Amino acid sequence: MKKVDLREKVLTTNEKLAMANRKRFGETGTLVLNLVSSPGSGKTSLVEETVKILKDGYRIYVVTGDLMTENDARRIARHGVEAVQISTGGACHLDAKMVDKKLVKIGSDYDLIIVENVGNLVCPASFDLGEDLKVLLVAVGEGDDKPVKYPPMVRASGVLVINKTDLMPYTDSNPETIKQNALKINPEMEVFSVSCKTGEGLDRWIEWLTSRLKTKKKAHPEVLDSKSG
Amino acid sequence: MHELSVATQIADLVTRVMEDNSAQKVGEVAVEVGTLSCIDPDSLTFCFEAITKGTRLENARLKIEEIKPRAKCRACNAEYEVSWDDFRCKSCGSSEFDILIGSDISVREVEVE
Repeated sequence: MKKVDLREKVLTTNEKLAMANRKRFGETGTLVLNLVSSPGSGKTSLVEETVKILKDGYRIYVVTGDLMTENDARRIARHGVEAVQISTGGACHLDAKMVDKKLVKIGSDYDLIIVENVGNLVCPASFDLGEDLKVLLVAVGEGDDKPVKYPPMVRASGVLVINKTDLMPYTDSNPETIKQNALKINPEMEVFSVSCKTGEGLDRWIEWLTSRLKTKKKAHPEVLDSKSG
Repeated sequence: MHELSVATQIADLVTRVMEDNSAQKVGEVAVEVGTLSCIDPDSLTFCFEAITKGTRLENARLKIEEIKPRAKCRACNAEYEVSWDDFRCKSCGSSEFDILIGSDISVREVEVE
C-alpha cells in the first residue's frame, strides 16, 4: 500500500461554523461572551446585573441555554432586554449551529451578545460558538479547587468571575485560592470577584466589559458611523 | 466529548485522499491526538468504526498517537511538558509561555491502494 503523507489538522464541523460566526460578529463589531459554569454558580444573575447597568448605553441580546424551561430567558427579559431561550432537549452544551440558528434572524444591530451556556464544566469547553471570550463563573462555596478539577474549561476561558462573595462569612471558601488555582492553569485570565446579590465588585467587571465593547467597536469604525448617523 | 464529530471529519479526509489517489482500498490511518484536545482515543476509534462500517472505509484502521503537550517559556526559553494542574514554566515558574504542541488533532498519514 502507498503511504500518503497528509499532516492535516482536523477541523470539526462545529469549529468551521464557529469560525463563520466569529467572522460575522467581527464584521458587525459585536462583542460576544459565552458564559460557562457549573449549574447554580450565578450565570443568570450575572447577566441580569450586567444588563441592568448596560442596557441604556448598549444594544444587548441574550441567548440562554438549558435542557428544559424558558425560565432564564424570562428572568432576563423582564429587565427590558431581548432574550431568547435555547432548550437543548437533553444536550449538555450549546454548539455553534444552535447559536447561529438563533442569531441569524436578528441581524447585526447589537453591541453585545451574551450567550449563557448550559450549566456544565466539561462539554461546553470543547464547543466554540464563535464568541470573543468564554467567561467562567465559579461561586464561593462550590469548592475552591474547581479550576484544577476542570482544567480544560479554565484553559478555554479568558475571564474568571468569582461570584457570591457575600457567602464568604458562611463558608471556608477563599476567592484568592480559587483565583490562584485558575491562574496556574491559565495565567492570562482576567479575574473578578463579585457578589451579584450585594453588587460588590460589579463595578470592576462592568468597567472591563465596557472597555472591551469600545475596543471591539473601534476595530469597526464603519459600523459605528453607520449607526450613529 | 466530540469524538463523533472528529471521527466524521477524519473519514471525510480519508475519502478525499482515496479520491485524489484513485485508490480503492485504505489501510492504516495515522492520527495524532494532542491530549489538550480532550479527545478520548478509545471513544474516537469506536466512533470511527461505527460510521465507516459497511462503507468503502470499512477496512481503515485508526492508529492513534497521543501527543503530550509541550510549551516554551517566554522568560527563560526552556521547553517543558505541560501538566493539566499547572501550565507554568517548570524551570523558572514564569506565567508567560506558548503551547508548542498537544492542542490539535491531525491526520498524519493514510495508507491507500
